[in-house]
Amino acid sequence: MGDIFSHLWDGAIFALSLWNILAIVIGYAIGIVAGAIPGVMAVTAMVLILPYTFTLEPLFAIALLMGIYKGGAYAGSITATLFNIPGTPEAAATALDSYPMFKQGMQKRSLEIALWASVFGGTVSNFLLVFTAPPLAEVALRLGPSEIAALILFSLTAVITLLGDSRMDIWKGFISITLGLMLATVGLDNMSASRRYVFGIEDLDNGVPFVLTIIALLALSEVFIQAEKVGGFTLGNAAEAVSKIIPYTWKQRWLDLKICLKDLIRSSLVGSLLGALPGIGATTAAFVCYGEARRSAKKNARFGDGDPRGIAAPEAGNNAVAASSLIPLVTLGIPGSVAAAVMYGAFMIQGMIPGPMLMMEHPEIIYGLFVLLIVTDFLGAFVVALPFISVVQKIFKNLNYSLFFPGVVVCCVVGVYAEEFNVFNLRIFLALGFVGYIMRKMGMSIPPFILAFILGPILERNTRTALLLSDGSPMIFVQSPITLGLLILAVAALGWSLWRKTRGGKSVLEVPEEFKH
Amino acid sequence: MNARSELSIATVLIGFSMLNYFYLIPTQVVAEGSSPVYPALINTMLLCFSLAYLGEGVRSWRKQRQAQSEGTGGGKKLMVRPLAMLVVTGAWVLSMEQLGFIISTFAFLMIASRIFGSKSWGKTLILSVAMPLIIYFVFRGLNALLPEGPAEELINLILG
Repeated sequence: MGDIFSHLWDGAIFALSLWNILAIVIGYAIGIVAGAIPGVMAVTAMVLILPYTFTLEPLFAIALLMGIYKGGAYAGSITATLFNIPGTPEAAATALDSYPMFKQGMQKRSLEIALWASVFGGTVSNFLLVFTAPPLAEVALRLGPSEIAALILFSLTAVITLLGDSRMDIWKGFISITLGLMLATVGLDNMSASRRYVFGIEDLDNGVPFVLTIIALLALSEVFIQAEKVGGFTLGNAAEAVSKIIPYTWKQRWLDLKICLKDLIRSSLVGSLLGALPGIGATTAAFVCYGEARRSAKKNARFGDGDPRGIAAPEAGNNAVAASSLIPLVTLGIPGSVAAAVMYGAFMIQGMIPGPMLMMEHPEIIYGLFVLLIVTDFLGAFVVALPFISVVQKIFKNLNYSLFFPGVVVCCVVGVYAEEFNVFNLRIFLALGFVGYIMRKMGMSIPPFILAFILGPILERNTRTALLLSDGSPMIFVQSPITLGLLILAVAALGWSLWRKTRGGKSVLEVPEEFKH
Repeated sequence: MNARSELSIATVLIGFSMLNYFYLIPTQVVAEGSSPVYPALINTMLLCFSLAYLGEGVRSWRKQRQAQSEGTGGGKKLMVRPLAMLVVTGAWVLSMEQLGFIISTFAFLMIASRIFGSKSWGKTLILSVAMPLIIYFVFRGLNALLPEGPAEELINLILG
């Protein structure tokens, strides 16, 4: 424990420079703007910024991306409150109570509850990350290749089995994972350095670039999806005029804190736990926390009609996911969410491989990241978010989507080109963007594809190393209790999930259809 | 998605995995001297999941037939704009080396914003002129060159 505090102190000295704080502020502001625009998520903004982080200092780049992520996590609640249009999918649960509260003239109350809950959830999750990551990293260092391969398989299975709502979804999810693993095999074989699936094209020797793939699958495919909805983004009657604005007094703040405290604590812990599991994501956490708050409330609760707990619970839950989703990344080197995958990319761009080794060899960087995470919640909320609410309102009302999305495509293409200054990459980018669009049309989820694409080389290296160590015998995967346990868990999770769907049971982590990826 | 589409996709995926087994792995993996074990393992996974997907598709097709509620394929109209965006973006990417970044991006933004339903020529024109120029000068300032064409040559001539 003493070590953690000492490392945190060193991390603070290393990370808390004026530039890094500036990066948080800029990032949070970008995240708020991006998160408030429907159709553009914070992750999209992170992805667009990612290729430009090549020339930045490591912690500046990480702080910038973290700021965007955290800013985006809060921002969705602004438009959800003011216009009943969630800027991000996770804010959809917040809108159920924040918009009715706004309509009653309590705009300030609603936005402040969301802000406080975000800070609370984020902070609890940050501390959970700080105190659980070091012991987990030590355990991770003792894992051999077969255990790591089994862990990756389990993570990929968990992504699908927890989120699929039908058996069809589960099979589609697995196909998505397999296609991601296949794409990762393009290029030089990482053991023998011979070429695979390159069709004689030398540009493919190094494989399909990681940054390009993420931008194509997340941002470009999103633009194609938005092209279908031309004219769909109108405020219509959403932005109803509120004749009377009720001030938010300190007495009311105190009362709200008393009412919400239990839900804040529970939702922060639930969000943190769900976030630490690969693939769950903030949207699911927000709906689970909202459901829990509603379930545990007394009969006189006003859920759906502006109950403060209906805002606090999902906001604390979805913001708690932000930090805890980094736990698998910093401890095992396995990104558990798309945002964590982008952070993984940012580390790679800076020449660092996230995981237990980085934590042991360069603790100042990891603990610096932890300190920045803690600072981001407070700094972002009080320096950026509060003054930015009116800015977001203006941007949201005046944004011209017909010019915005073509502009996004230009940013994507320039970002991809700037990575290697290679026009060939743009062709792959375009092809992958369309593949992403088709996959989404087919109802195949993109995040499992991306996670599999990132984890593919690690899975292959460890599987083949394990087989080399055992002279080709697959028995190595059942000899270690950890490997065997993880494989049994993966199979059991799949079996349980299929059985549940056969019986027609709904997912316990139920998210409305329109808010899924 | 209707059940018929699901069945078609599953069939395409099974076809792809067969192609991978019998053509791509021998010619693109084994012939290059790489081990086929891992690619074949993944391909087997793809085949198994695609077969399971096909089975699920057949079940859902039967259900739909019983309920006589097959979809009518109304999604085709929706794909026109994304396809147009794909073609325009492709043309932009391919023409970038010949026309240079500024002119090709200008043309792309003019057309793409129309696809997205822009009605104001003035705003479209401002964006289409300003965005490529700003990006070009930022990259020029960083000594990182974007594909050059007549417009970039003219700027180079003027600025030296």
